[in-house]
Amino acid sequence: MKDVNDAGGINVGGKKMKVEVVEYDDRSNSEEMIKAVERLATQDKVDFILPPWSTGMNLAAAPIFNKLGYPHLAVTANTNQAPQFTKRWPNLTFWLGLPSQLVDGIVETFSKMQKDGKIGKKIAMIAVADQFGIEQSTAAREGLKKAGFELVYDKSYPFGSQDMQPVLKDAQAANPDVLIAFSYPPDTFAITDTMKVLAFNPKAVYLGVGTAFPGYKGKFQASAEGVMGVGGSDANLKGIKWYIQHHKEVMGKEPDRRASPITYASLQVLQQAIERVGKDRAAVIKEINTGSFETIIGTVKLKDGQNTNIWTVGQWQGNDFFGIAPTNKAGAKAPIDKPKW
Amino acid sequence: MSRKQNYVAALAAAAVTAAFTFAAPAQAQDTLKIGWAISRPDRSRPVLQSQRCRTTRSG
Repeated sequence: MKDVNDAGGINVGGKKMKVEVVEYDDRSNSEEMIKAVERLATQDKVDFILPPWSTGMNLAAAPIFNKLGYPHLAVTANTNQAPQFTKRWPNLTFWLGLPSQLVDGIVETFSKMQKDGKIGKKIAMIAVADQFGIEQSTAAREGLKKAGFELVYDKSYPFGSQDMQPVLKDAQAANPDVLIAFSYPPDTFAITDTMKVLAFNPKAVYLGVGTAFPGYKGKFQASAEGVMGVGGSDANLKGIKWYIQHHKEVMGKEPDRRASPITYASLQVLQQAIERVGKDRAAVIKEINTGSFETIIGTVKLKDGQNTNIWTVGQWQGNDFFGIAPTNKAGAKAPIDKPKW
Repeated sequence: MSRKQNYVAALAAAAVTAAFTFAAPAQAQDTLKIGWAISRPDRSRPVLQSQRCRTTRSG
């Protein structure tokens, strides 16, 4: 919003219009959020509505956005049911990739490393015992087995676990080539700490969510080198370079390397769609779904309501969390060997 | 307050009302209104342009 207004506003029909934000606190409560969205549309009569945060909130919001006829850019939502939802609600779009695509990236990465002789076939997998962990580990189990990997350890741990030692000691005892953890940020940090203490050094480590956070590199410094996780970016891309620097200047800290640049890109798409077709929301929805847009992450062109310009696996290499899969995506880096902790 | 003062006060109030009545549609045409329902756990964040816009509007 600041960037748009600093540039004089959005060009609507040849006239620059500054952006005015009407904001309500949804208190992370879906009922409050739905009431707020209705109020924004019917009382405040806003032109466009930005999405709420998280998968659950966006799925709860989808019917009301659709009923009210607003474009719904669900930029922080991640579900395998996205294709069915976008078919049901054509105003709804998804931006982070499907969980199954993220697992495809993991399988692709480790299959290539295995063929290149960098790792063996033994994988240990741990996952938080909630919907996210179960969905991801189920898909990964199937994909890894199909690719010929042997799951030498495969356990879940309770949500909110403080002590990761028991599960990691067992995983270490299985002597895997790779450790994969489908973990939330606090767990990701705790797993790294514990692996260092145990001197648990598989050849490759995939952790996440949370690995892409600048705070991860900030805390673990040289120990972050070679650690993989969900997301990533092409830090050599001009738009990404600008965005990281700009975020530091405006917010006083670095952005994460997954949802943050994609969120910014989604707003660029919304702006460009409005500038092309005006304030008519039905026309904007159509343009978002069919147009091609230049953004900080490169060209964005949705396919069936899904953003396909995503990194599924990233890796800390030096000071940046580079995208390494899909391996055929422009800017993809080759994975590096992870140094021992 | 005399009748004359009352009359002047009423005129002034009407003028202010009229000014806002005329100002409101003009503002609506000049800005693009964006709504956002979002949780705000961290209210110590620096105030950005977007938040200042809202303050102006509410004020």
